[in-house]
Amino acid sequence: MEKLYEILENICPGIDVRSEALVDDGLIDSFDIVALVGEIMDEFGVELNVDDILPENFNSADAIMSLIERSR
Amino acid sequence: MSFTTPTFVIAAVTSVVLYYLIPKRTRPYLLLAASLGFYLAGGWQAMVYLVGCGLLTYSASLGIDAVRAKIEDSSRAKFFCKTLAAGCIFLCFGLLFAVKYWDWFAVLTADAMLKLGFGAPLPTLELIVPLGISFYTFKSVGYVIDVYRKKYPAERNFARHLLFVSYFPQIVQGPISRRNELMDAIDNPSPDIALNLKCGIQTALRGYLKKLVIADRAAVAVNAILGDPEGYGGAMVLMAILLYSIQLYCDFSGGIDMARGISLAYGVEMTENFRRPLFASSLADYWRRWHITLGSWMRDYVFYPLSLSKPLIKFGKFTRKRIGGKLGKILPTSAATFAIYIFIGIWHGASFKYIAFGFWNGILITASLLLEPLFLRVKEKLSFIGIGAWRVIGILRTNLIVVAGRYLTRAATFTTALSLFALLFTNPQFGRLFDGSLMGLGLTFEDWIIMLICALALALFELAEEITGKDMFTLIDERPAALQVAVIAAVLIVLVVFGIYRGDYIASEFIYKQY
Amino acid sequence: MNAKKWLIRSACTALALVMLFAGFNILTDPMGVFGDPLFDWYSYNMTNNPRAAKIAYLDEHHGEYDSYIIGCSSTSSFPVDAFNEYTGASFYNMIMYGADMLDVEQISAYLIEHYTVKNLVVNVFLLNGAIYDQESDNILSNQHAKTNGENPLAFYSRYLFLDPRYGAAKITSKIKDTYLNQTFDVFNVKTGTYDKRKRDAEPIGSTEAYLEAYPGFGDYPVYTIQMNKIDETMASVARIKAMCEENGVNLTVVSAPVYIDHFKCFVPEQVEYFFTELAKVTDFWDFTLSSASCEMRYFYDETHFRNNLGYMAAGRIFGDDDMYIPDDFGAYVTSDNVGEHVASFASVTNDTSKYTVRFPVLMYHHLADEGDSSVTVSTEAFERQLSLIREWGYVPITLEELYNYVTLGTALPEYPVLITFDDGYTSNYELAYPLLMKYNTPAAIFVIGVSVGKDSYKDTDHAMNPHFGWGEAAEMVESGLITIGSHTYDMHQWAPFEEGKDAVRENILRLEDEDEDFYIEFLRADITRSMDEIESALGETPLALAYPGGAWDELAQAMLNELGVKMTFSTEVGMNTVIKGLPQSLYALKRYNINGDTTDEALKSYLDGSFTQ
Repeated sequence: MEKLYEILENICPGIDVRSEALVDDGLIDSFDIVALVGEIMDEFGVELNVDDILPENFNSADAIMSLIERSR
Repeated sequence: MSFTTPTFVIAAVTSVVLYYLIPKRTRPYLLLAASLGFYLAGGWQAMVYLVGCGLLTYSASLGIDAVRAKIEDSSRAKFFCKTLAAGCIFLCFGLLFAVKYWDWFAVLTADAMLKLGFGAPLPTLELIVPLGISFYTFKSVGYVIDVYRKKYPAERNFARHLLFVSYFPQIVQGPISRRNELMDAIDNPSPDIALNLKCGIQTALRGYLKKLVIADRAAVAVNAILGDPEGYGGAMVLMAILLYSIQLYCDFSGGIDMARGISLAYGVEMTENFRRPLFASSLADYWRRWHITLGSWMRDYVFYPLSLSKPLIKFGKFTRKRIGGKLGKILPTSAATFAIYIFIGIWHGASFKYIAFGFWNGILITASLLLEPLFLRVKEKLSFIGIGAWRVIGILRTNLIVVAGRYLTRAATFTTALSLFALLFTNPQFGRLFDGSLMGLGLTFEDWIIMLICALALALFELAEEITGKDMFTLIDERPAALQVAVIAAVLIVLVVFGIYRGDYIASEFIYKQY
Repeated sequence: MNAKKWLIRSACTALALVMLFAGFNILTDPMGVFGDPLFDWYSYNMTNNPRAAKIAYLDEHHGEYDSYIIGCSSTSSFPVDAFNEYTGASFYNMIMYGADMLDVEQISAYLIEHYTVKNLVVNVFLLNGAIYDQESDNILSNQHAKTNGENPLAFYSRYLFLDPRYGAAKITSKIKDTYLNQTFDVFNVKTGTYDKRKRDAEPIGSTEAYLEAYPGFGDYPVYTIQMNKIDETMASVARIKAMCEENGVNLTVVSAPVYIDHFKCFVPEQVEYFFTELAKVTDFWDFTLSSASCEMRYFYDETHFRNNLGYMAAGRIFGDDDMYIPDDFGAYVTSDNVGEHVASFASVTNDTSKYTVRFPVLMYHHLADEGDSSVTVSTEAFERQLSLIREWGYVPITLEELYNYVTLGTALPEYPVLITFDDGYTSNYELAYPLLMKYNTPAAIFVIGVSVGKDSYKDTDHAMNPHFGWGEAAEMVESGLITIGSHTYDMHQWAPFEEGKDAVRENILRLEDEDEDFYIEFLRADITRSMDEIESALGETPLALAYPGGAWDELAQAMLNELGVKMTFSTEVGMNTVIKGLPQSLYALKRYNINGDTTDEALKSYLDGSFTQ
């Protein structure tokens, strides 16, 4: 989880990474999501798919984490 | 049939009345009938494309579902589904390409074909471009991809599918709805008839006001100036481009307002297509506010798949390792961005200027990604400038960039756009702005005044929306009843006198020409 | 507000607005279809839509008329008063701009069916061969539902929900309305013709000056007008004829004069076909092409001939010998002579010397026994000038000779000159008159009514140059040499002597900030008094007026036309050109001022026109 926060912090400096509405509030945009997916695939060694890229999967760190869990 | 014709208004009102008279479950079929009727009014030939596109996507999506149900082997199933989806997409875009881009392509490649020894250039087809073909093609393709991505099952009822493809409020200029959103709204319309009518009327009236009072006036001045750019000089041309930006926004978002308004009257809310682009703080932000449904379509169906495609991910790994730093990180995204904006450019029409338009947006967005750290540092150093002020600076900067980009969209060709822009430096004639030339563009003094007042009022309302986060109708609703009635009266008077009657009136000195 | 309330209030607001708009349109009634309850301003309504507004007007007033002249805009210049005089009927001119023969036919049918119609004069204009059943604007150039059978509901609702700017324009026009016509009230409601008081008050002189004022005649575009509606038009004329015969209406078909350059736009074969076909249907009076067509000064513009030419046309139709009409103007065409007539078009020529004369007017004021000065001429100089005029071959003429030349076409000497005196000083009687007698030289004297017989300024003690009285005037007129004209009754005031007055009328013009109606009444009273006094003292109506100080404008000239003044004189320097048939060539005539400083060389240059300023 800490690793995920770090990645988030890294990609979008200055945002509240604990927000529950990362996408809905516009804290992260499509560029960030693409960068995030790249990092996650590198760091967690999982394969993410285009189908997984839904707003609800990226709205919070928890949601991202559960996406990673599901993809393992 | 244009939304601004009396026939359309009468037909739309009739359909709304009928809609509430018939049983609930038959209402979608009324909408289908209305949509097909609307489309048929433009000629039966275009109907062939519409129904063809509907049939194609209907059968492809059903095929995908059937393959999944029948074939156990997931990799084989995946292959078949992919083939079906890809084939359908190819055909849909092929059709779009044939009617919209083929002739341009044929002319463009004529020389090359001859040089390459093909003997003859590609023949031009001169097909009619069916009304709204870009919109329903994109919509249907999105639907097939969603089915392929298992977002929802395929539609089995062809009538319902055809309704989704042809839903008349959005067929002329969008928004490009997603199937689940639109059909959910049609299946579960808002039940409060009075509220539906109120929202529908309000939204549609705003649309008519934007289009008839502001956009149609601005167009007159824009066409006059750009009809003789050298004569008027660069300053007037800049003025024309500014006006064109207003015209384009009011025309397009006005059209969307009319569409949403009519749909709202049925209780069917459609996705927003504009979110006050005037107040975008960056070009990327602008594209999240302007023609939103096209942007999100591109994001979901082009940008993500492209960015997450194997080659680009590999390319990303490579750049991060070899180039490193910020540039290394953003290069793959940037490549996808370029692709998107060129695609968006081409979406607008067959011309090199739209490709240039794509480059213009791609370069600026990449540059802003690259310069972001630098910008943040500058922002830190200049901490005495408040957040609000930065926001204003951002908005001004974005508008500047957007207006500059409009030279490309308005000019007939890419080179014309450049020469128009160059005029600002080679032959500005700033004096023309003040010597009364503005009165000689086909707009009377009253035309200018009413146009500017309405445009200003619109901007102020949007500013209020931006600040309060509520939409302008809610803001008006919170005011005393008398004021609300006054607003209605004012809108109706302006719309009738300056919108509907415009063009009919001939001043007496023109009637009797000194005979 | 909840949604239901909102809907109800919005609907009420919309309804109220609809009623407001409709009410406004009915009250302002810019096309006159609702009876124009507020303004009763049909000149305006007819300008907006002559077809509908004239029918609306006639529905109320057709009892005053029993005959109609009908056709497109050139029809306006067929003068109602002349037709009335010749026939004893009471004509109304139904001109409608851009009218095609279907308009004419449908409206004629309505007139015959609903009104008393004794005579119908139809103008079958050359352009009617090119247009028929034209698609027209359905607000401004459509017919009244009563004449073209349109659904009345559609017709009236269109005007009920008319763009309110028409009504607003009518209100602002009403505020700007003046005595003379403007662009928004171009019709004379009583006669139905265009209100040409302004254009007909414009002085006309040399061709050069006319071209400068109306450059359109100079470079008239050459293009081809295809007359491919001749058959439809003639079929329509035939139906009109049948209709007239059936209803006992006396039909006269006329074809209006066309300016030569415009005529050239038509294809000769089509012109021949046009007239041949017309002659098959009916006999007609053709004025299309004659020497008058070659004279731009007889035209307002290339498709609209002047009222003056219209009087000549009426005179020709009714055989009036008591006026000037060019010999080749107008022909009665029948199927027997139509070929001959059309063939004669090729040989139409024009010779301006036959109907124009260029001449100078000399202006004197005060004479003195001896000693020339800037204001007075000595008797010696005056006598020398009189003899030089004759010696150089110039023939002094009377005002009447000049007037007859223009109106009757009588002859003038080759080098005429007119001698005038302003103000009516006693010196004119005592010093000038004997010399004029001696040299048998006619002259005109313009007297200021209020100063006749006075040697002090009006009712003040201010002494002034003495003015001759009515007795002396009568004696001079008796001689047959002197004509007395008006110099106004009291519109030549002398500011230093008008003590305690805010506004001094130094000339005939409207004072600054003066109410137009007040001014017009003042002017009318002043001129009438001046004319009446001259007439009662001398037994003849004065023909002419010299503008005090030479100052004039279009309103003053139009007013003087109305009051029966036939000639006016300004003080602008230059030669004049008079044209037979154009009374406007007698307006604001230019004059050379002769004073004590005038040398014989200067006089010669005035007379031969070589003088330049």
